[in-house]
Amino acid sequence: MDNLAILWIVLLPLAGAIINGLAGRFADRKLVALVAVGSVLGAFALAVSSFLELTHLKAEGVEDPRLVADVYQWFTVSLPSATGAFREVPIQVRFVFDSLSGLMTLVVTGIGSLIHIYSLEYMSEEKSYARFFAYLNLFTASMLILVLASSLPLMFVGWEGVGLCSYLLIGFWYETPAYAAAGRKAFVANRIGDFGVLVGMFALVMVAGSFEFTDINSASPEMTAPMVFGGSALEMSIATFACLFLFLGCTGKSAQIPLYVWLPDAMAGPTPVSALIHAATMVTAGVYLCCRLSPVFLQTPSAMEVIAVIGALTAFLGATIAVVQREMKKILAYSTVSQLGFMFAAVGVGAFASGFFHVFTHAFFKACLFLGAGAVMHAVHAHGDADIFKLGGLKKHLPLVRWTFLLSCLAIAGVPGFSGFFSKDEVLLGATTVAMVETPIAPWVGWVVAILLTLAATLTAFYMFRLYYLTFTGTYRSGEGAHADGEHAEGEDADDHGHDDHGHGYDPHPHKPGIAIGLALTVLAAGAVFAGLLGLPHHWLPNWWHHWMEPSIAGLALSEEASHAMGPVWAAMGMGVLAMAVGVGLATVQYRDKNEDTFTASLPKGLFSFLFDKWRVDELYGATIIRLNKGIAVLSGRLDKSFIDGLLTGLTSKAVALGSFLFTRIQVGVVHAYGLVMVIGLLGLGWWFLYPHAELEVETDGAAATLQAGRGLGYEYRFDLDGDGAYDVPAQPTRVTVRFEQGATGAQLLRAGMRVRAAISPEPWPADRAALGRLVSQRGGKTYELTPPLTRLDDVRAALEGSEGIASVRFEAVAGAARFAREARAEARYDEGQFATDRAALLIAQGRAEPIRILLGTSPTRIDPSVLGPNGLGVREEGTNLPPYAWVEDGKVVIRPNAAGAVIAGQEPVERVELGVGEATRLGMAMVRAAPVVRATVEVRNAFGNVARESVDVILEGASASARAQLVPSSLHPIEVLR
Amino acid sequence: MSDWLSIVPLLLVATSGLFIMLADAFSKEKAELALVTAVSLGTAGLVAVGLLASGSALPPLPEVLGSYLAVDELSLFFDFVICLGGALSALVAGGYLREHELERGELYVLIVLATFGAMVLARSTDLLTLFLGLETMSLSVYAMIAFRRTSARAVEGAMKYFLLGSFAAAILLFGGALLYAATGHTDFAGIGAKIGSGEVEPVLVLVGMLMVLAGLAFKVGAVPFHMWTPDAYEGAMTPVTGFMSVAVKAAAFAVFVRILVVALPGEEVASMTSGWPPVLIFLSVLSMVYGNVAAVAQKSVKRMLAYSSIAHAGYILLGLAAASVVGEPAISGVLFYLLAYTVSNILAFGSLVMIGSRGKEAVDYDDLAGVGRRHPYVALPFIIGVLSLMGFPPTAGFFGKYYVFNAAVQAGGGFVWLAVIGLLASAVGAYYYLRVVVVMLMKSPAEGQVVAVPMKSGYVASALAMSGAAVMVFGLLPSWALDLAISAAQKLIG
Repeated sequence: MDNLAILWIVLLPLAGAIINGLAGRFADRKLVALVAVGSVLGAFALAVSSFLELTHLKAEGVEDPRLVADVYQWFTVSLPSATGAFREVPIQVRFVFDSLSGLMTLVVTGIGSLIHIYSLEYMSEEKSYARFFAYLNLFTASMLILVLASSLPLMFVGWEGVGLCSYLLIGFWYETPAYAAAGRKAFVANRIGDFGVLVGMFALVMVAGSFEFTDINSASPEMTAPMVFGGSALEMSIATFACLFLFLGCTGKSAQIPLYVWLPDAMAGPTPVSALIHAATMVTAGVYLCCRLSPVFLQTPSAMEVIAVIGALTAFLGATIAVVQREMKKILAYSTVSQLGFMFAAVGVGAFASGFFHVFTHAFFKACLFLGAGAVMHAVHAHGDADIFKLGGLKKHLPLVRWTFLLSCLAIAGVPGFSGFFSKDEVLLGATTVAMVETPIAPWVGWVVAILLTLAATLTAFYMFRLYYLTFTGTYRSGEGAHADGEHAEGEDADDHGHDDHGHGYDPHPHKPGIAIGLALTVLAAGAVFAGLLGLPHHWLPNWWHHWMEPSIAGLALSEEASHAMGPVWAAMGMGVLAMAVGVGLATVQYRDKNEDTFTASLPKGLFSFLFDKWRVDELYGATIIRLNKGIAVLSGRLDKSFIDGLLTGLTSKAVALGSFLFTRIQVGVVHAYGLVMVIGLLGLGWWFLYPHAELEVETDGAAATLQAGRGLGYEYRFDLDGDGAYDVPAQPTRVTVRFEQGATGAQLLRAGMRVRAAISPEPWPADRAALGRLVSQRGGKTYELTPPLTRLDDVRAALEGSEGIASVRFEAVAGAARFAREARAEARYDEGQFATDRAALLIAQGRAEPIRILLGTSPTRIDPSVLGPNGLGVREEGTNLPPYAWVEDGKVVIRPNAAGAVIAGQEPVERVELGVGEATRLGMAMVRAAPVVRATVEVRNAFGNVARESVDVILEGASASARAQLVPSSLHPIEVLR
Repeated sequence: MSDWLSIVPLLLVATSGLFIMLADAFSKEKAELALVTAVSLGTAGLVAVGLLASGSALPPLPEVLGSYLAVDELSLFFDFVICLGGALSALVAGGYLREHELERGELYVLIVLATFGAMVLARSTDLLTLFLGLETMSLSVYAMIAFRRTSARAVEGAMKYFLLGSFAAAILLFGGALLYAATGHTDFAGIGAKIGSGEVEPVLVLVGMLMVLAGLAFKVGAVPFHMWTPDAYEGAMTPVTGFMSVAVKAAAFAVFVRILVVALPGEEVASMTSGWPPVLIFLSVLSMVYGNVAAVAQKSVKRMLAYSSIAHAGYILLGLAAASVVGEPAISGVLFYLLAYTVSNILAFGSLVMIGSRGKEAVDYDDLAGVGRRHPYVALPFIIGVLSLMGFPPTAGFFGKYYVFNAAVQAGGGFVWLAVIGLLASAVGAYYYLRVVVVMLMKSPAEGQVVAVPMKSGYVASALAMSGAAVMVFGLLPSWALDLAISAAQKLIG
């Protein structure tokens, strides 16, 4: 399945970027140009051949033809599956060339090649020639990764890559601070969107269990389940949640409300960049993403409605602003915002393929328009942007530019027969279908979208022809003898970064563009005219587009009759043609061969400046979000200076310096001192061994507890498990009397000072030394005191009785002090009589969280409200807010809860609660239990004879009132000691 | 004959030592001896690493030696590390002696003998071979420090090291005697088995263990047994300092690992309450904090590196202490650390040698001012070296620190806090390591100051190239060396 050509489509521009980026500035310009243009042209050639292969497969009847380049496994991620178990999910670097990505690849490489060629001439006087082409190639590579990626994470690499290139290219002339600022603005707006893409991606991946688009799309039916967030279900489905966040990403990248503000500023970049990145390719990435995930979007009509309305609003907003602007690229920029709105409106009404068709046609005519504007600016030496009121009459000077520009204007205005007509018609058809035919999407959305889009289309036709007439007809206003029309509303134009470095108009002698510019314009204009033929209205004519896109892009499921209903078709076509006619007609009347702005000047002053200032959205953001952000930044900055740098860093470095000074003082250089330090160190370590360390640890299980003391060579232990002051292990020392058979040699064997084991038998016993202990007394010849653990007594007896020469063995308990044993571990079961009467523990459980444990004595203990959380403890009267207290009284736990709790309707506040040990009750939102406590002590003696003691309060959480009855009373001692 | 296979590196070093001694008597061109030394030590190291990497079963030694010398992957790993350190030091010494007109062949003989002693020490499985190896190594090193016999500093350093070293050896020997008294064994395995059986007198074992550990802590330069380190490091010639800081330390840590794992196993002697882990933790924390903090105030780069070697001993001891809980990951981390430390430290000391020439030696920070701008190709290895010592990714030192601290975090409990202390201490360390970079790149020498002029020496340059490449390779592709370390640690634990 590996298709190397697909890989090389990505690698060629990437290689070009690396070569030009690293070595370009040392190389000859021709070489740079060759690498830059050659790599993109190569990619284009490969894309064409792959595309032909794809059509071939399609013709052979392959349902969903795709060419795949599986490159390598990038990394794996642990994802929880439906059962909750984690599994490793691989993320592949894999490129897929299918009907959707294939077409987009053609656009990116094809238009990309033309724009590279155009740039050869346009940027020929640029200092940083190689840097420009390296960025442009890098952009192409990133865009191709975005398009060809088979999974969300890899697509995100491209997504971020194009964002980076966009930033770099907008700020290409970074010496001008305003341009650099425009780059930053684009980057920040995009970062907000990227956050949305990531959140959406995670939501999708959690359901699908895979990062691949195909898996996500086939898992889309499961996404109607409600979104669970932080343990509670949200009132929206997973699909809605994910799609709204993905759309947030799209609003950033594809310049929709509310994040569109960066795109007009992005015109600070060189014009080819505006054409390639900010019109034809990158900004359509959002639409592409929606089409890629169209099955998921179709699961959520509510999110689609949001998208449709926002898209239509953006289309309208962009068009209104474009009407009054006076700079070529700015008008085109707002036009792009508006056209992107069209595409999203199409996505929102479920006409994904139509939206993407508009992406396709728009790429041609908008690129052509931008390049035409660039050619004009190049011709008149306008830097940055060109004021159309200083142009005019350029049809004489630039005939080729004029004709291609006009064709593109006709296309974008939607004149029947041109590409824009077909695609815009498809979009409108989508809206009217939703409005007039039964679909999951609300009909009012269809109407709103259709009306807004019609208005926007009217305005589009109008402002495009306003632009065309003012630029190419009339007289050249910067020509010799002509006076610059300088008195415009400059004062209010906050975004006019002083582009007009000429001040008094442009070069009076516009020069014709060269062959590279001409070539690019011609090819693109041809596309603008003919690209629409791929998607002819399917009711009458063959529609190649929908057929081609079927496997990759889902659409609204319409009933048979609905899809043949003619009402929406006529409505859409009527609205489209009407809008075009009104717009073009009005513009022709107002601006043809005119030299001044009669129409927009006639608008009411307030409306004009509102539109001219772009609805003052930037100012709004500035006054709200940005101002807030700045405030926080200033505050953190001050904190950083004073607290972190001043106090923390300052003090730490002083402390280290002081320590360093002191430490070097120790290094006196006298060898005796060195020896002394060694001795002191040795003694210090010895000191640690001289004294035992008990390190008692407790584990409880119900009313039983396991106590574990620290182990050490030669350590011996004894436990007081119940706090009665008497050591329980072993409970009593035992005296053993051994009677020997007459004439036995046993008496000779048992010698004072020897271990009993050695005395009885030369063979090693199965029990270890500890089981027997030391011979204490030889006097009387026959009585020995042993200190075995209780459980081993039988072993001792068996071993002794089996030995030769021993007649009998008798054990007797002796009262007296407890002995140490070698066991570091003791297990105990407790009954009620052993519970401490002056101590108890309070366990407060809220929800599923781990309960809070508080050890109580007889004096009241304040329970910190901050550990209790917002619900507090118990129910309080309104107006009181004292912390709760608890203590132990007569073996019972007393709680005074009446404070810091929540006010809960239907529950009365309580003054005082008494809980017997082991009992539980509910106080407000919390479950409260009184657990018994036992004080256990261990005494440790080490080989040096030193003794250490440690006590712990054992909280018997599991000991409940009911469990108490089950405890078996023991006749002897309730404690068993096991090894 | 194949019985001897696993100690071929050791035999190679021993025979080359004898050969070089003879060659020294008859040769005129002493610098060639450096090459001979480096090649023979390098060959021994390569043989060791070849045996290790081949993964073939190692035949047991003949009975005469069997209970005294270990036949295992751990020994081969340390053969590699020690021989690498020795070979690179010999190359650096070759350039140094010629430049400073100190050409006498004894140094190479001493290097080979010290390396031999270190290898025996790393291989010892018995208190007797331990002491034999220790003294062979130490005596050679004392003589190496005093090599520049006209220099008061050198003689002072050697004398101090000798006196304190004898003291430490006495402590170690006495500890060994106590262990023997308690267990009746001098071989580690026997001592371990006896202690594990529980039939020993605890007092003897504890005191004996403590004294043996103290004796070894002296050799690795852990606080509070470190006092000799700055003086001896400063007094010795820089190539010798490099050798001491890598080969001697690696051998001491090798025997440390072996004693802890083989002779002092079991819950009771390895307990956190009253066993060796608290001892190691105590030494480790003191070394990490003291070494790093004291290094800050140094004016001499050589002394700074001495204190930094104390701090590194602290990090390694932390890994050893964690071995009581997690075992293999901690031990393999320590092994990797020692390898990384060897190449990084040789790189740093070698660069320090390279930067100076006769009469214009680089000792203090001031001598380094502006070297980076005047001689970038000499400053570069130094920068890589200190970055690796600092634990900056992607150098070998980063992964060494990472594996050791990771083992401590895996051990859990209080070890997590020790790892935090270690990280904070190494943050202090970043200050003085980066200061070298800052001084070399951003400072200019003061008016009228004698500036260090780099020497020209193919030997030193090739040593720097090799160790620099190793630092980067072990940093970029740590898995090869780590796999060797892991297999050595696994075989040791069994």
